[in-house]
Formats: sequence, structure tokens, C-alpha cells
Amino acid sequence: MKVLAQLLNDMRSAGVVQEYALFGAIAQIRYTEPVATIDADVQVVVLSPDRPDVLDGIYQFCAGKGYRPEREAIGVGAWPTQFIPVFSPLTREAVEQAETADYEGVPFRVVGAHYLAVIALSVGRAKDLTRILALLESESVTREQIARLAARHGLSEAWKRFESRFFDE
Amino acid sequence: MSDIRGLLERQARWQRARKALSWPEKIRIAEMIRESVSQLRPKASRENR
Repeated sequence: MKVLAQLLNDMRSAGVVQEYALFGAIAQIRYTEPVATIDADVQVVVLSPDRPDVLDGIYQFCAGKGYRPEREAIGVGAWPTQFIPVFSPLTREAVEQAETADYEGVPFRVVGAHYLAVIALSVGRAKDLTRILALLESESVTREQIARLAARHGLSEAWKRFESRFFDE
Repeated sequence: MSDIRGLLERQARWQRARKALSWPEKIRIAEMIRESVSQLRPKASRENR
């Protein structure tokens, strides 16, 4: 994972991406107990997000460093890594507001807990709902923080349904 | 019932201990979990045929 942090910092310095932040299960693990996951997910802000070859620059940069595609990901050290351009105002804000963690001496941008929870709410699969519960249980985020952020991104109804399903008696 | 309660309390303590590990340590555990799962998956799919 340290190799991935260095690669992403280099990618940003070279202007291949404007900004990046780790999200998904690997980011969740920062706050909760370890969970099973196959790959690492990275959100990226790129200059021309509407181009069909939006990820070409990333793939070329990785190839130049010796990292090759593995199915829909790129193998970086021990982790197949998926690069996902920001796909909504919520995910763009999550990357912009990401925290810089220290990963064994290397700065590593990671999406914050309340953004992880609300992105999970917006996706809404069973494993995403489990992520919200795990983040709440870890006390890294509160229901009030999620409610506020969800409201700013038009997800109040989804949050009400979640609370009704998991917290109302 | 008290046995179950004791088991749950021990489990909760264990989960809290794992949560308190550093992020790199937790990622190393996630790597081990992934490795175990990948070894089980082909076996499970063979047995389910």
C-alpha cells in the first residue's frame, strides 16, 4: 500500500491527475476493524473527465513505472487498484476534502469517514449499507454528520430510509 | 445464556482490539484475509459443481 501511496503522489506531481483520494474498503479500514476486499479503489479528478480515454494517461503513467493492467484494475504492489474518475458533486467534494494520512512516512490522501458513509448511502448495495453501520459502530462518524452531508447532496430520503430500517424499533 | 454473553463480550473485546491497530497493520490483515478467501473460492466453486 505504501507503493500505491508513492505512485499516486507521483501521478499528481506529474499532472496526470489533478487530485486523488483512496476510498472504498481500504479507506474504511482506517476507521474500522479489517474487512475482506479484493482491490483498492482510488477516486481521481482528471482534466478531461468526459473523454472516452479518460484513464489512458493513468494507465500509461503506471506502465512507465512497471505496473500493468490486471483485468479492470492495475496491479500496484500487493493490490489490484481501480481508478475511478469522480462521478458526482458528492465524490468530487469527497476528494477535495480528503484527509492526508501518514502511511509509514508517506502522505496518503484518504476520503473522510462521513464522506465514505454518504457515498455508500448513495450507492446503496448491501455491502455499502454494512459499511455505514461499521463506520457508525467505530464512532468515526455520527448519524448527525451523515444526515447533514446527505441533506446537502439530496440524499435525505435515502438516509431516512436507512435510519428507519436499522434504528427504528 | 451466560456462556453466550461471555462469548459475545470476548468477541466485542477482540473486535475493539483489532479496530485499535494502526491502519498499515489493519491493511496487512486485510491482505491475509484476501489471500485466504482467494484460496477458498476455487475450492468452493469446485464443490458446488
